[in-house]
Amino acid sequence: MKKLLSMAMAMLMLLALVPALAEESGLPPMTTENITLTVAHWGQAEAGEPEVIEALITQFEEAYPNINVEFVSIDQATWDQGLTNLASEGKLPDVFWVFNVPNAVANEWALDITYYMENDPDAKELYPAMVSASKIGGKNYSYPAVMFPHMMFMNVTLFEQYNVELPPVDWTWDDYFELADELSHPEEYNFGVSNPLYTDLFPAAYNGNQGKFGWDGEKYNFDEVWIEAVEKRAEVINNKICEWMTEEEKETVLGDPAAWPPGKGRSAMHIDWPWTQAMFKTTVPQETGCEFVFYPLPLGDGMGELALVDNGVISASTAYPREAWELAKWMSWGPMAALKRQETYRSLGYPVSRMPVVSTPEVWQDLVENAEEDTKPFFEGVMNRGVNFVPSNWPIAPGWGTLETYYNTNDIDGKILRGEISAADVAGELQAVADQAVTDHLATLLGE
Amino acid sequence: MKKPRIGLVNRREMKGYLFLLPWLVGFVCFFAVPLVQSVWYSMHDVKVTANGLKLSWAGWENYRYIFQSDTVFIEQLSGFFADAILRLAVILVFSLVIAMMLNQPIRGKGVFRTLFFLPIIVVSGPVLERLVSEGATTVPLIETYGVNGIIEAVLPPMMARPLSGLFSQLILVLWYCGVPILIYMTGLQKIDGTIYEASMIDGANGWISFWKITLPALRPMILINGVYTLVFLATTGLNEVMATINDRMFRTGEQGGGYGIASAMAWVYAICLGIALLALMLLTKERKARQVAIQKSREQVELERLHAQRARGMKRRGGKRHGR
Repeated sequence: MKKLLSMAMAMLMLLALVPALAEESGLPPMTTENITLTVAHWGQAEAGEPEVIEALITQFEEAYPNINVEFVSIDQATWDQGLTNLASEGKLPDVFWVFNVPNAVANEWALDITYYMENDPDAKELYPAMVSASKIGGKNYSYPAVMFPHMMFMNVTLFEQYNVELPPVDWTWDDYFELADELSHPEEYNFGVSNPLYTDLFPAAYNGNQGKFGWDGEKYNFDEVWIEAVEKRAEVINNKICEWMTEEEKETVLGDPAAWPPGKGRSAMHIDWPWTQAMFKTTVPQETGCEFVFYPLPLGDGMGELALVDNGVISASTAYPREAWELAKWMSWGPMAALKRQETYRSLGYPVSRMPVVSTPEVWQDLVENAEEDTKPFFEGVMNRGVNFVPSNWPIAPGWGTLETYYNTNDIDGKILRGEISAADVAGELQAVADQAVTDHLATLLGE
Repeated sequence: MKKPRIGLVNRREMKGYLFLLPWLVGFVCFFAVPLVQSVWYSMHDVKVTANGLKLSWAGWENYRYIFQSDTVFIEQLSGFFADAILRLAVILVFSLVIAMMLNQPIRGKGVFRTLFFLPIIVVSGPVLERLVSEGATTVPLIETYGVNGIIEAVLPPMMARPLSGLFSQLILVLWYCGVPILIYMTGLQKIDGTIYEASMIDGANGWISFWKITLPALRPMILINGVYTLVFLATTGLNEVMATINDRMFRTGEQGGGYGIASAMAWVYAICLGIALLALMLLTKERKARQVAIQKSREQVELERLHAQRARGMKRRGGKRHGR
C-alpha cells in the first residue's frame, strides 16, 4: 500500500511537472532523438552571409546536440524552380525562405504555424504587425525572417547650405514636409525630398498595422490615408519639392541623362534602404563632397513603419514541425539569431543590412552600441521611439498580383499626378477591385 | 537447314536503324513518358505539393485559359512565327552563300570553315545570354543611322516589329548559320563535278549552273536546314515563348500558371511548330512528275537555245579564222 501510494505520488508530481515544463517554453518539448533537419536561405552570394549561416547552424547544434542541420543550396535566380524540383522529389527542406507566401500556400508547401506563433514566448518579441499583417485567411503560414527597414538619407551639406537644422530622431511626417519646403530650391536643382513612397509608407505611419494599400492581414484599405498619401505625392512632385528631373534637365545640369540626382547630392531627404548606405558612405561623398547621416523614417499617429521583409515557411511535409519551428527561430527571426548575425557581421567588418524583426531591447542596443556615428541616429530612433514595424505585404497578401496589375495598368498614380482623376473619386473603385481580388485569391488558395 | 540470308536492302536498313538506335533509346528512356505525361498534365490543374504531385481534372480549361485569359502567350507566339519567317530566310540564304564560297578551292579554307562554325559553340551556351545582355549581338550602326526608326515609320507595326527585331539581332542571326553552312557544304561536295563541266561545254555560265544544277541538287539540304533552323529558333533559351512556358511552370494561384497551364502552352506551341514544319516541307517538296516533265522540257528548250547560240558562235569564230 505504501509502495502504491509513493508511486501514485511520484506520478502526480510528474504530471504536475509536464504542464510546468510546457508553460516554461509554451510549446511541446523538443525531441531527444538524433535527427537531421534541412534549411534553405537565399543571399549566399552576399559578403558575410555564408559565414552567418555557418555561425547560426553551429549555435543551434550546440543548443540541440541531437539535431544535425544541413544547409540546402538553391540558386537564388531560380529559387522557385529549385523548390519545385525539390518538392517533386519529396525533398523540400524542413525550413526554407519563399519569395511569395501565397504561392507556397497554394502549392501546399507551407505548414500552418499559427499555433507556434501564438504559443512560443519568443514570438511575443516579434513586432506585432509582423504577425497580424502576414495572415492568410486568418492563419500564419509564414514567419518574418529578417527585414530591410526604410531609412532617411539626410544630406547634411544641403541642410547646412540652407541654414536648416537637422530634426530630432523622433520627428514626424509633418516635420518632414515642413523641412522639405525649406530645403527645396528647384531653381538650383536642389530638392527637399526624393523617392516619395508615401502610398507605401503612410498606412503604417497613420493606421499602425497596415502595409501598402492599407493591407491589414484581412483586407486592403483605400481610405483617407491612401488618399492623403497619393495626393501628397502629386503635390510634392508638381511643386518641385520632390526631385523629379527630366532626362533633358539631368543632361543639362548633371551632364548625364541617366544620372541619379540623389546620388549627385541633389536631394536633402532621400528615402532608401540599408543596402544603399555603403554607396552614400563612400562613392557619393567622394563624388559630390556631400556628407550624409541616416535617420529613421518620420513618425505618424499610428507609430508604424513599413519594412521590406524576407519570409520563411516550415515545410508541410516535415516530420519534425516542432523542431523545424525552433530551427527557423534560431536561423533567422529569434533574438539569439539576430545577435549572432550582428556579431558575425561585425567580426567580418561588414555593416549589418539585414535587420532584426524582433523588438528585443538587447538586440537593438547591440546595434546602437556598435553603430557608426552616421548610422547611430537611425538605430537610436528605432530603439527609443517604440515603432511597430509592418512587413512589406506584396510577398504575403492575397490578391496582391491582381490589384497591382490593375493599379499599374490603369496608371492610377500617373493620372492623379497629372490631375486627370482625383484620388477620392477612384478610391471606391480600387477598394472594390481589392476586395474582389482577395476573395477570389483566397477561394483558390484555401477553397473558401 | 539454310540460314536466312539478309538482303542488301535489309542490311542497309539495319545500318540505318543502328544509327537511329541511340536516339531511340534516349527517346524511350527519357522522353516518351514525359511527353505523354505533359498531355495528361495539360488537362489537369497540377500542384507540386510538399507531398508530391496533386492532379485535379480540368478538361480543356487550361487551353481555354491560354486563348481567352492569358495576356501575353498568344501575342508572343504570333510574334515568334513572324520573326522566325524572316530569320529563317536570312539564315538559309546567308549560309548557302557562305557554303558556296567555302567550297571554292582557296587556301586556308579549313581555317575559314572553323571560323564560321565556331559561333555555334558559343550560341549553345549561357555565354550567349551574357553577350546579348551586353549588346554584343547588335550592330551599332543600325541604331546610329536610325534604321529601326525608318522601318517603324514606313511599315505598319505588324511588319515593322519583326524586321527591326531582325536588324537589331543581325549578328546573332548570322551566328546561327554554323550548322546550316556545314550541311550545305556536304550537299555541295556531293554534286558531281562532271555535271558542271558538261553544262559549261553546253554554254551554261555560273548563274545558270547555280539555278539549274546547284539549287535543285541542294533541295533536300534546304529542307534539312529549314527544319533544323526552325527547331533551333524555337527552342533556344532566348526565345520569349520558351521563357514564358518555363516561367508559368513555377507560377501558381492568381498569377496564372502551374504545370497544367505550362503543359497546355507547350502543346499549343508544339502543334503550331508542327504546322510550320509541315508548311516548310510542302514548300521544298520535289515537284510532281508532270511539273518535273514541264521543267525538263523547258530546260531542254533552254539547252537547245544554248546549243544553237554556241554553234553560231563557233561558226563566227571559224569564219574569222578562215579569213585570216
